[in-house]
Amino acid sequence: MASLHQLNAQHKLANCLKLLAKTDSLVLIEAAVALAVQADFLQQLPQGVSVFALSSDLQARGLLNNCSPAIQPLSDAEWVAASLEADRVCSW
Amino acid sequence: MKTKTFVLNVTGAPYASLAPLSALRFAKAALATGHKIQRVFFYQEGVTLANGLSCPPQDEINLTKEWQKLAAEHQLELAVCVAAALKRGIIDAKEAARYGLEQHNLAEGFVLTGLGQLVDGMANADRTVTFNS
Amino acid sequence: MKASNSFDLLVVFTQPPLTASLAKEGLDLSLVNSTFEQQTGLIFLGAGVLQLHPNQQPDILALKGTQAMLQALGLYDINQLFVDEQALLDYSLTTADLLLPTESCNPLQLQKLLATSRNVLTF
Repeated sequence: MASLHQLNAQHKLANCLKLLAKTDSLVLIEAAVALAVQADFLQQLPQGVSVFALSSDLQARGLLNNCSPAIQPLSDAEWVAASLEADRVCSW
Repeated sequence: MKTKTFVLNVTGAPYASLAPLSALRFAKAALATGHKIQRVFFYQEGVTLANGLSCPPQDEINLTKEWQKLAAEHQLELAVCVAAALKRGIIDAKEAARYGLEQHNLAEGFVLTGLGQLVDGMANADRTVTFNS
Repeated sequence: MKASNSFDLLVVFTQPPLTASLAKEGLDLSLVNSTFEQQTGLIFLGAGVLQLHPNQQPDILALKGTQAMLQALGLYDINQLFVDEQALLDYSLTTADLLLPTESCNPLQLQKLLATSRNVLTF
């Protein structure tokens, strides 16, 4: 019964982490894609969480090429698919 | 692939947040991949997208028009929480008459409705996705 | 509805009191959800636990506050309120201090609530 957590702002990460289970996944959207290039971001997550970031949001901000290899860029169509793959979407 | 139904809940305002734009991208991608959008619900600050009097500069995206266009193409329901809307000055002809106001500004294609429409949507859609400020 | 779901809707409060209309709009939705006979659970997370702080006087700012709505939850059969154990520690509160009876939850318990609910909205 995994959730997809949709995070749109860096300052919401602390609350998101409280509900983020190790079987959940996380998609960074809008300005929160800045986390995808932040050095210590991945270390804050429970082991096993799949992390995605929206390609267009990364690209628009010039961050696509700096994105950590552990973070999978998603097209908008893949974003829709990820929302269906999870049992629910938890938007922060 | 099996067709799924979505309810989108938009709670962030245009221009002050990216919520209506992200929801638009999501809706277009969902429709393009064969899914259905059962209802788009505008709640909290999201209701201000339904302001028919907003005039962004011509070289900027007009989110209200973009949503109207997508809704017309795909017969989408654009439901606006009436309580949240009235509080923020988004009003239709009927509510204007009720409150003795001379003007109204609800953009075409949007309809004022109760929170029950969000609850009903969430209970029945395959997936609810919220776009916050 | 799957029988394993504990709630149709989980409403998560994350902001301190009087953060614009956030808590009010979250409570409005919780009450409407309940009138549609949907099971509703409430989580007070992080600074959201302060929503249940007993000594609030919103009228000092000419604001309405949410105390009356919180007191009405029981009338709508919303009796399952969960608070973030760590947040209680952070704000030097205990469940006995709060406006309403609540259950204190550790991270795994909070995550389980999410994992067993059909939908979730954060305010």
